[in-house]
Amino acid sequence: MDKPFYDFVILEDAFRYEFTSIGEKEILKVIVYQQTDLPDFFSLTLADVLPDGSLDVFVESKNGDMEKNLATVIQTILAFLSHNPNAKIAFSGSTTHRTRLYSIILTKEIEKVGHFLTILGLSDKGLVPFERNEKYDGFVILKKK
Amino acid sequence: METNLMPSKRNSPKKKIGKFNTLNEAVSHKTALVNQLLAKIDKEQLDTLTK
Repeated sequence: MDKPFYDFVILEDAFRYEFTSIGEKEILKVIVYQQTDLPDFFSLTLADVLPDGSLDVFVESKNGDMEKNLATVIQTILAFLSHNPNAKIAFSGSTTHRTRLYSIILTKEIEKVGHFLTILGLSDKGLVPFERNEKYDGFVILKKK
Repeated sequence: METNLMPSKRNSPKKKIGKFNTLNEAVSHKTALVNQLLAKIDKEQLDTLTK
């Protein structure tokens, strides 16, 4: 929350966001929120736009600015929720490793955002309150009522 | 004479995992994965936790 983040552009009625990661190279990143099968639940997609115009949701950019990128993603979550107060954002990492990384970041952030955001974990048990050191397949973030 | 129906690894086009030609394809892929995860939620749990 208090970490530096990149300026981002809000597009398509706040369903799409773009920013440029600036490290060893400049990489255009796109974040899209899309309606899922469950009402009010939206998926979060983070993709790198590659030089040939294709998109990669799997790549580890290794641009030396991962924390700043993730801080920017968190800022877009806040922006999306301010435009869509009833939305629930569901996401997982593209790999088990990345999902674990998201879990570590959410553990760090939950103290700062826990008073106004609810963070839930998705596992075989379904949807459960997020706990440190638990293993999840994905996450759901929503505004507290 | 046997015909090998398996494409040779050398000639088959390599599709990199996670790489998509369009944003719509990428988003549809991720949303499908999220839908699979959301399918594990039962309604009662959902109502209780998101109240």
